[in-house]
Amino acid sequence: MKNTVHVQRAIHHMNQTELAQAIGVSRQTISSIEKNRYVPSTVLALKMSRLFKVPVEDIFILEESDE
Amino acid sequence: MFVIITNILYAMKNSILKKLCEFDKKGLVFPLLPASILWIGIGVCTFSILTMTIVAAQAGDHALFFKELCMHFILVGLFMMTLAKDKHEDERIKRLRYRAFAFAFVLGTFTLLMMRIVVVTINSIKDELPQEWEYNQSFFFIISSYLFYYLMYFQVFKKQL
Repeated sequence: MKNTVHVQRAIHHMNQTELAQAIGVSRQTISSIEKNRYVPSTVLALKMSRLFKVPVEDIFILEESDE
Repeated sequence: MFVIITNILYAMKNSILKKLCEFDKKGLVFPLLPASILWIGIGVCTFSILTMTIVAAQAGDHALFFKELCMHFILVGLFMMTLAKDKHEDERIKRLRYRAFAFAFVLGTFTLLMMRIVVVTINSIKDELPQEWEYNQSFFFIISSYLFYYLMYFQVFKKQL
């Protein structure tokens, strides 16, 4: 699964620390998500979706290898 | 009387398991201790190791007792470190904690079980096989507790979650 968190963050002019504070996680967690090392929970994905005002599917995209 | 005691024990068991399941639903691992406990745990371990080293150098009457007491407190310190929260305890850390618990449980049990077999095998090769399987009671108690609790909680979580 790939994600567009860093793109959404750039659109909203946020750095990793600001995003982390907004959704209540550590900066390392945001870094791990952006590097595709960590898949967040549904709750965290929905928090990001609400913050960026886009559907979850626009942030987290399934790849062929996930099916 | 027996029925009453059984019912009380059953109610207690259900109440504890219900709380554990609620913890799991909320994505929590266990009721963890504050982050500062990590440093207290390190302190307890360090102090116990230093005391054990000093006690080992002196051949007093109760040297063995104090050595084993220190060893016990090293375990207490390690346990405090295990249950202490991380500085930034978020969902990623909780997942890593789960993974670490799983690895520790499986690899720890495997190592302990294999160690015993390796020792016996080496002894048999050297033709020094003991008359009895020298089984330490506490060793058996610890390993069987881990495995029994694992099997019990796994079945309960499967039914309740």
